[in-house]
Amino acid sequence: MKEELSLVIAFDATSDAFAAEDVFRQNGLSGRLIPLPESISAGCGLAWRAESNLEKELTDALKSIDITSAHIYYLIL
Amino acid sequence: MIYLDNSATTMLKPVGVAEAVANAINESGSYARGAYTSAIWAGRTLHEARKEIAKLFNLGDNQTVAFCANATTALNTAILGAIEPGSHVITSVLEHNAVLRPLYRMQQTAGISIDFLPADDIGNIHVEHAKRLLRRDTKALILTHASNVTGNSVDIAAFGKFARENELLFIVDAAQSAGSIPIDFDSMNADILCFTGHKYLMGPQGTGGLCMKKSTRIDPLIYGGTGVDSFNHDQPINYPDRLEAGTQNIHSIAGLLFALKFINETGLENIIARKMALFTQLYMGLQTIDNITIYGDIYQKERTSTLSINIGDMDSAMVSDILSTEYDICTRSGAHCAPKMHEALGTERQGAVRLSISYFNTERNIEETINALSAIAF
Repeated sequence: MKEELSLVIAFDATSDAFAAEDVFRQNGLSGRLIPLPESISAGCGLAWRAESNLEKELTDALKSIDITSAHIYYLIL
Repeated sequence: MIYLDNSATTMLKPVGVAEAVANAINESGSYARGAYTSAIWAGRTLHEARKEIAKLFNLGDNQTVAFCANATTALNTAILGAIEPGSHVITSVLEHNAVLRPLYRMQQTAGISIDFLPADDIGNIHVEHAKRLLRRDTKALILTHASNVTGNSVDIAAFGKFARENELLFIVDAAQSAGSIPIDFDSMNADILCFTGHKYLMGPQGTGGLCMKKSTRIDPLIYGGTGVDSFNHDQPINYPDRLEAGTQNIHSIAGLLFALKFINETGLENIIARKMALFTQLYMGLQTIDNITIYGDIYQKERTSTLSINIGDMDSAMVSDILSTEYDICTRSGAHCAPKMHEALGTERQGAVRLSISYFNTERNIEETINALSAIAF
């Protein structure tokens, strides 16, 4: 499988991950929920994986629903 | 069968609730346990249910819903997890044992002291009494939104204002009012609102939850897996996740989600109007029968569709049994897990026959019930 640079958003709460998915979909932003990569944090959880050029759009969407527990990473996945 | 024990649980659900549960059994994985299709399905279902609750109860920014098994679990979580040990708590004689017993437990184990707001002759409580009970060490006010015995509502706005002015934690038991009385969590000055899904929200049993501000500190009742932060010895710090340990009941929440959409699409005001029309029919029919005592504040502007009665000095259990065996009418007799309410009404020995009406009862149901009670009373 081809590796590529991805933007990964980790959440402190699973409820935030699904709220984020909801608002990203409403805003037509591509990406999907993935298991939280161990390279970000060991111990389960969900993260949003998206194209690496979408940071502004994604963070704006998160701000619109007051999600402040998101952490943004760039990973080769 | 005529089912009039909807204050215990609604039996007739909106068409589609059972199918939604069955579909979830086939489709749902475990919430927060993976990013594969069926686990995502579970997460989206839970998220949609949170949104429908938020819409129905008007949750504002930074307010959320934590799901649990029922109102009793929600109230135990709120009372045992948020009330300060050693403090003074004000509650009322209207309360259900789901409130009273956790409080009595804290009285024994955490040194809290409790005072009860008295009820007047028709079962109402008044904020003036709360002012008299206030002490320097009073930290919390816990009230039902509506009595499960009389159906009377409580002036939550007035008590919420009182709680806010005196910096009290305000916990509201909405087990009877959710789906029966409009709830505006954002403006009622409550810190925690506990509800159940299987009564007047018309969802499956095994559903309920707490509406809360994300800033309200509640120690969990249940500790365990949440699907995140597994190496942390404590529960995750964020709400609602902190209160949702263990596998969530997505099967039943899928049914509740369907029921919530039904309510939001039908319009709560239309559901209330339907139930109160049937309630009025029942009251008008019963109030003309000699020997029947009706309890509660019937003419309240906002109340639930619950009516409790007695026939003369007949044992309420016997009346309920006759209704069941001879007329196939289902009612609840006895003390309804609200011992102080019955003491206040003077019915602790006789109990009362509770008739509680749902959106899916019919005029014919009510007519037959009036006729049956008339025959028993004669």
